[in-house]
Amino acid sequence: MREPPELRELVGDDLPPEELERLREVDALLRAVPAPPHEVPLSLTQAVDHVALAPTRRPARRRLAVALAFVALVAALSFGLGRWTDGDGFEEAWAVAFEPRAGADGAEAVVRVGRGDEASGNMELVLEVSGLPRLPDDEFYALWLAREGEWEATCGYFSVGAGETTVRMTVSYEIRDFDAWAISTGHPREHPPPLLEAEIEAS
Amino acid sequence: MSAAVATAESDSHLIQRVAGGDRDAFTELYRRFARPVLAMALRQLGDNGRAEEAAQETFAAVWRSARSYRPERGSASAWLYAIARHAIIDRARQRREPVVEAPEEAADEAGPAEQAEGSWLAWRVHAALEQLPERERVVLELAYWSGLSQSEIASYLDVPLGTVKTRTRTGLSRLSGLLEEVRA
Repeated sequence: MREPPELRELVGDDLPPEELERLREVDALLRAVPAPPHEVPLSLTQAVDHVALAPTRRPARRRLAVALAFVALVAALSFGLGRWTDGDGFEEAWAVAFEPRAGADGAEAVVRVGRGDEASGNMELVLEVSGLPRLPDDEFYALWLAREGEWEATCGYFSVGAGETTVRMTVSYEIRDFDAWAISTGHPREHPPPLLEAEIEAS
Repeated sequence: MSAAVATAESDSHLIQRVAGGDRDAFTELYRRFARPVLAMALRQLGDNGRAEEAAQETFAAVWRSARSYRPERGSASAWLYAIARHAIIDRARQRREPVVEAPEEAADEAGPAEQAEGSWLAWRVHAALEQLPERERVVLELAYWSGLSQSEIASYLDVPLGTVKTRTRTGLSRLSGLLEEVRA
């Protein structure tokens, strides 16, 4: 297939330089991306039309009850039963459960925050996550800290396998400086919407 | 460019209406994003059948999950992109095949970050194209991806050559506003 004509051939020679520069940037973007499909198949339109016949889902009481029970269990482990120490010496100070967002139906995660190392200022995290799909080898999930919905700090990147995946990370942030944790794919540049989120309560 | 801006803003309103079970809003959202979703699915899955399945699952997830959309946390387009990506990955996993980028999308030496950025760029450009008036969109698509010259496009559409150039110029100018963030 032939290359698209030069921009000047497409738009003519009578544009002011600033306007021509503006259009040149768009021209470069169009040349950089592949063609969209010529048309949307009727079969897809008909199939999607049926989708909208189903009632939109409201949070089921049972799911809500399970989520509340899960949070209560985490709270009990954190505050009622005292510090949790695993075989590797991880001492849990507090923990928080995530809630799934769009595109992550059925996913669950909890992050356990260790007692900070006062000498170094580092803090260990243990993230337990399940229900997220395994990504291709060149993609990854990220655990990040948000403030007012914006990606503020990255705690670490990870992959998942079948069942539950446990990941250890070390951060040097003061967690309470942020208002939420989020798990998403991709890179901050993409502004990825969270797949799972957890609120961080001010201490 | 106020019309384009107004359209971009209303994507999030549409999702909020979908959250309330509004079928008309869902149909409009489908009209705007069907081709970007399908384009990404075709590039990454490689065949029409699976791409259609992934696109169908994407819109099913939008219908099911619209309540979870929070406008303050990101754009409607980014929210839809994430849902589409997951639907495509799920579809690829079901066949136990890796998600791939077609050769035209992934440069030989492109790493994961470049591929992800290329995919996101294509998504935004395709989504912006859907916001153009039909007559401008058609001319731009013929100019950039059909291999036709301007004269051939004029002949194909049965309009004067000057009309083709005017529509091209207007369409590019409108796209420039829609893609302002990308160009920055």
